[in-house]
Amino acid sequence: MLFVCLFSILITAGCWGARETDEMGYVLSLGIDQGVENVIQVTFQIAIPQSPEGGGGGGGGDKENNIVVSVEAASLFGALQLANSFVSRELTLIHNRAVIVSEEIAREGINKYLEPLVRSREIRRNTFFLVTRGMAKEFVESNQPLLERNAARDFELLLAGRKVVGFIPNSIINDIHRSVNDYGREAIVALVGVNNDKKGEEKQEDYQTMVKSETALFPNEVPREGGNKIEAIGLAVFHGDRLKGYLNGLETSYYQMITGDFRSAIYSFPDPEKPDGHLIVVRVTKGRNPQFKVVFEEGKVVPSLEVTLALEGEILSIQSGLEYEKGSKEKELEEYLARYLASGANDVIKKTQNELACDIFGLGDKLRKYFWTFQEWKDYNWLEKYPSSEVNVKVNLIIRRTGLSS
Amino acid sequence: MAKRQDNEGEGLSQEKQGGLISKGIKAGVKLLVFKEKTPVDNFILEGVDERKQEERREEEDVAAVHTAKDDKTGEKARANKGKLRQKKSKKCKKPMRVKRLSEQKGPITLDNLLVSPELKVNKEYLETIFSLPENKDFVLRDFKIFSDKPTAAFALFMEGMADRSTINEGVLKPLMLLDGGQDSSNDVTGIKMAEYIKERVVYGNQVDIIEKYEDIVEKVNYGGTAVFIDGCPRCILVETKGWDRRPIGKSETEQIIWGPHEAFNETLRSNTGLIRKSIRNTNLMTELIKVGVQNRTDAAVMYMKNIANPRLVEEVKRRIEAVKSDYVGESGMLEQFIEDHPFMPVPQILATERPDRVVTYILEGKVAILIDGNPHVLIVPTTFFSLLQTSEDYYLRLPYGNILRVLRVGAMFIATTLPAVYVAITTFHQEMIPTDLILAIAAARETVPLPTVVEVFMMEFAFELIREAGLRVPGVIGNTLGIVGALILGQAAVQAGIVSPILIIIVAVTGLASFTIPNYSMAFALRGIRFAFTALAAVFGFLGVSAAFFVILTSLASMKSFGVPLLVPKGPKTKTESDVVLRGPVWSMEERPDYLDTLNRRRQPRISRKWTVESGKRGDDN
Repeated sequence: MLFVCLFSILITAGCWGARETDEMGYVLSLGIDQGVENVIQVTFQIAIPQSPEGGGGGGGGDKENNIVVSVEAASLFGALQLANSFVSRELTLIHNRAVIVSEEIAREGINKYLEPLVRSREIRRNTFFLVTRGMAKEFVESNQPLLERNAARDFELLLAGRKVVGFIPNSIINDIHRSVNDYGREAIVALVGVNNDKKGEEKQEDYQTMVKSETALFPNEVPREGGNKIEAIGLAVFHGDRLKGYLNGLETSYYQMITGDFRSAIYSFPDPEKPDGHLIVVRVTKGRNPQFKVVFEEGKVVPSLEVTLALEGEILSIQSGLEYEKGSKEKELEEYLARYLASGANDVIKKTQNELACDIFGLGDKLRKYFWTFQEWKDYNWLEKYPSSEVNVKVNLIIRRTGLSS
Repeated sequence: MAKRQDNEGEGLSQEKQGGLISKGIKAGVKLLVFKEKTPVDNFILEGVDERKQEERREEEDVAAVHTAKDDKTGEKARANKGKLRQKKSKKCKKPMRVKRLSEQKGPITLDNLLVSPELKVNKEYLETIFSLPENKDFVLRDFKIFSDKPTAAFALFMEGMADRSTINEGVLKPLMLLDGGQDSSNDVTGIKMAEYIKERVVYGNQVDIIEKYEDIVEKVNYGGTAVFIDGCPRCILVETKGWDRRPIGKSETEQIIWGPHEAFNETLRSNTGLIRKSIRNTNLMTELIKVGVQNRTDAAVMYMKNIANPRLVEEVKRRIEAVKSDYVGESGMLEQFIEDHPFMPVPQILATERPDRVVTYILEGKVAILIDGNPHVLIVPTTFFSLLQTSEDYYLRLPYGNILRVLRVGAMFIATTLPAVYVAITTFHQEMIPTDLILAIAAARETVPLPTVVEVFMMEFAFELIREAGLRVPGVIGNTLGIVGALILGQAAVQAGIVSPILIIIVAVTGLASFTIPNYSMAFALRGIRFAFTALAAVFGFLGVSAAFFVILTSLASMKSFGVPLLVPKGPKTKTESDVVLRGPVWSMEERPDYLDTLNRRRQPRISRKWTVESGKRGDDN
């Protein structure tokens, strides 16, 4: 009796979706481009399962571990279905790790591509959403990881690198979807691209400029050779769901400092006493979350904000050999570094206000508490007012470690 | 169910259909309609009823008086006490007429047959009972008692059960040689003769004078020697038990590293001795009950008189006494006869072969049931959690013991659910595991032509085969079999592409985990449950697994072991002494388990480590 009841409950409610692992094609990443024959062209990177021992029969270690296919269709899931016309295994997005859209798509508006990703139960909301400056197809094809066995893992580790570098922002579907439709912030998306071993054309003359542009780069600009062809540096700024502009790697690290997402990054500062040819290299880490102070002045509609960053430093190198860590010199160095970082951060704020007119820092969220109702806040239209607001960044920097030599 | 039968009916020919449908509906309705269970005399262990306890005391007093009259030797007194009670309840209504041999007509029955004064008659009678001389096990030795006027007598004993030298030295020698001393009066005859021999002649340490054949047969069957004397309407029974027995050895099925290693053997008396050796307390009771109609094996019920709940003891005895079957000679069989839920997978009675374990449970207020000829002792009532414990948990220091406990609970979950979880994840919930892992699994399965479920069942079955074969195969090749089996299963199956290597790991870990379950029955239960889990997971994914968990947990919660819920102290929440999965320090276990409702609740005072409060006598701090 009991078993009959239980069984019928199970049968009516059971998940009848048994699928064997060897019947599935796991999409690791997908790229969205403008289509030629249809609306969009979707590129799927599908994993080829490989046993851990590295190919018992083949002997060669460099077997392809994924295939890339492109399909043109009217919609994302239409393309997924159409791809099964020539891919033998049922494609599934349950292990998809990244969605890459091309610049073109981003300029047109990403909302209609974000929506199905958020709605689908196959896709996790912590999937990476990335913008590439070229074609998404080219990017997906170029992503052939050398260190990792599958591309999804490669993405994961590359973008997890933001914990130690400042120039990669956090860029997951959930956050982007939220900020695109938010009244207090604009969305940002991590910028990726393909680097075809392009070295800098000619050596820049000025030492100071070289130092400053160490990380002030966009994808495809990193001076390097070898390795996986893809790279992630900088971010794309969105106004609503449309691409508005870019921030380079250095600006991205300042951006993260202001939002509090910053973990740590290495900066090269010109030596204040021997500025030519000598550097002070410091690893800067977040000490505490940034403090925001909002001041509504009498008669003014737009408030002024003061952001205080609490940072900590670890001296990695003082090329000049001057003993900055001794006595009052340390204080001086701290102030110098703080000034230097503050001016950088203020520059980024100026850029977002004047050039981009986008509050990507989410400063609006700090103002919300001054409004009684959501309607009032909505009508206030902060995103329009952001460029005219006054934002000032102050930096408190303490050197925690000076290194071992003195 | 009803629906399904309807559908079947539709497919059949028209004329049959009507009948079939109505039959089907009836069957379906029968299944669907709630039916009250046939009332069973359920036993619930409650608080001790004052009034009933007094009654019981009176009863015990009566019994004690009886036994005092009957005999003085301790063991038999207890045995008789049990018997007396049995008799009292059965036969007090209708006293039977005592028959003499002369009145006996037709085939001989043992009931209420008494010893005749004539030796010849007795002999004839015994020859009929024991089918002498065809039955070669029984030896009838004729002799003459050495006295002024030699009296004919004979001794009857069983070859193999009775000790040869004891009979020679303790029974025959004094009777044939040494009697007729100076103060023996010649007019000692009849019953007085028996008394005289018992008091002055025979050396045996347990000597009875018995009148009823029923008792004589029983004693002779158990290694006693019966001496019949001409003109004496009584039989002298000397205890001459002595057979070949296995010495007390190491525990084989419940091995531990730390703690005593001795285990019970097949002799009831040495087993009770092992327990009594550890509990040197007169409150330790051993009551003997005969079980099995044909074999009449002794079962000993042991408990602490001042601790165990009398109602529990009563219930245990009631159940054992009520078992009527030809042969109950094994503790596992007795367990099946007296347990509460025979069809449930989880055992409700704990069987152990370790005396130290039995001792701790007896001192906790539980009741131990020992059966002659069996090294396994049953402990009632049992809780689910005690099935996962070993005695070593208590002997080791607190942190180590708890590590073992946690390990074992983990092993229990692995043993029941790991294959099921594997099947569910790989066929239903592939998004749950890291991409690398799913790709590794997929790669490993690439060459495998069978569905995951089939693969899992195949390997599980093969593993069970190894286990069973290793157990049944003669000892010499047992070890080889394990290695060969593992090699064949592991290496060859993977190379042949029949199973994936990951599955081998799953099955091996599951097997290892199931070996860590200390209780043999419990390990069996988990193995059975595992297959149900795997099947459900294969059909319904995690929904099936959780449904199986639900069913298992609810059925566990509904089960009882001798009036105590199986999941106590967690099922119904009762006061507990931090000894469920994790245990507290030994000095913190101050009270006996609440669910046993013992007569004496406190196990040790609130401060058992008196030295911590002793003032002025502190040791040096350094």
